[in-house]
Amino acid sequence: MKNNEIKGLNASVDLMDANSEQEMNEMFEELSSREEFFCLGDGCSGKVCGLN
Amino acid sequence: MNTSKFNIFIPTKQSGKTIMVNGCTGAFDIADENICVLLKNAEQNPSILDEIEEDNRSILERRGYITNRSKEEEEKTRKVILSGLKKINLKSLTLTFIPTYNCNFRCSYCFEKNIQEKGAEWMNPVITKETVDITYQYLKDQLDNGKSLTSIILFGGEPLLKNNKEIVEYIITGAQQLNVPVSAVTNGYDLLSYKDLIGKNKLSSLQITIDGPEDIHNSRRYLAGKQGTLKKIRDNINAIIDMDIELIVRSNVNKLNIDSIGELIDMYRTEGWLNKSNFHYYFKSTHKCYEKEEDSISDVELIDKLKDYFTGSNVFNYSTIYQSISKSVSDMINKKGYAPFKSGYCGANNGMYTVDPYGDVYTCWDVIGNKDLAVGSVDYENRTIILNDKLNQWLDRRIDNMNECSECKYALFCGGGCTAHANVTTGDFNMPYCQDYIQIFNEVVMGLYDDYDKQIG
Repeated sequence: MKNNEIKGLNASVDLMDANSEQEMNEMFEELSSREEFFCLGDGCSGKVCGLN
Repeated sequence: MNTSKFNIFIPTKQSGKTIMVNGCTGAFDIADENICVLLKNAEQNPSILDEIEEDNRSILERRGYITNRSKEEEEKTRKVILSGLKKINLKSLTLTFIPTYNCNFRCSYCFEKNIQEKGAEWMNPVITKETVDITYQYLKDQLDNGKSLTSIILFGGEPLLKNNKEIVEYIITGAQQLNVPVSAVTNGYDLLSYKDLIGKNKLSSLQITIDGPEDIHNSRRYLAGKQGTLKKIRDNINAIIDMDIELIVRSNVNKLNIDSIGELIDMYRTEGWLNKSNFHYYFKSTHKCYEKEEDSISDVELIDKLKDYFTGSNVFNYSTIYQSISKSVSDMINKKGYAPFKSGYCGANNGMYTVDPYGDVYTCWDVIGNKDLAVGSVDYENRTIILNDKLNQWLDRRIDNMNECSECKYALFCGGGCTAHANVTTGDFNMPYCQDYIQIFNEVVMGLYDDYDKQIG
């Protein structure tokens, strides 16, 4: 198959760097300490439903 | 090598291109359709993955679309990601005060009718300064233990009744000491009594509901004596719109007012509100689980109507559910950040607490006043808040605890849906409440990419 294009639109959790559950936990700990990982949706507080 | 069980394929308007998303790694990619067709076929016949050119195979593996992990191992990976997210989200607190359950309105579709049925004697009490003090002390202890407080919200009943100004001012003063902004969800009727409390370090954001032009609004949102309310609300907004405050106008929409949306937007324009940078508005379908079947509409039906007034992905900004996905996904694309995964559907599954005039503590606004669902209470003797085991049914409502979510590729984006609505419709906190989530997610991602593609030419 010819080399079709794949273009990344964002960052992702790179599972190839983690071969065991422990390595995955360590990787995730490191990732979650980075500011950019806090793009975690709206976190809410009623903003999803915004009841009135 | 196998395909991931969490691959999502979303078509685009651009010929030959498909958006690929992985619901475990959070990768979003745009790919030639050939690759997506091959990945889909490889779900039944993994050997054809050998046909993929080496460079692309490496990208697909790194982004999680193909993997050496078994389906069970992938599921385990998703659990690890979920646990990591949960740990982060639990560090962040949101506090709501219910100054009173009393309300001067009797809206036709109010979801708090169970509270009104308790009668005036039960609704009338106002939260005491002692309850506020103990709550703030508890919060300070939490902050000292490394948690953060993002906002304080006033909800009700009607939180800004003119007779309750003293306690509202007291709450705001406490919030100032914590350096946390205060917002309120109000019907806007007694707003002028609170004019001197509006400002950046005081009441900094208000959500007010207007359901249509005067006749429509007044037929749905009227006083206890049935008098109409729109004129006064409109005058009040005009009186404060040039102040330092974010004004968000919400419209609750069902079949009875969906056809008046255009007229309502015209009213905002005529009032000059659309030219104000602090004025925002949006629409939300009334919650189906509390609504008469024959009157209710879905969020999908609502967005279809909104497309009469807004073009492109801009329409998503005017519907809560769409806007929530749209904002987080567009932020992700613009910052090249990580996917907007959720460890739970909303704050009620993380660190949101609501304290009422009886000193009872709830997670979600939907269940306030239902003492059976209180997750804690103010301990006046020891001057602290004691949380109980019922909190766990909210905190533990995770997609990995719900069988129906375990196979869903979208579960980390969706979070399992609203806990309260799941309980109302099924009697079970641990049932998912999906509604049209997948359709909405796909439409938003497709729409955002279409605009992004036009921008980059």
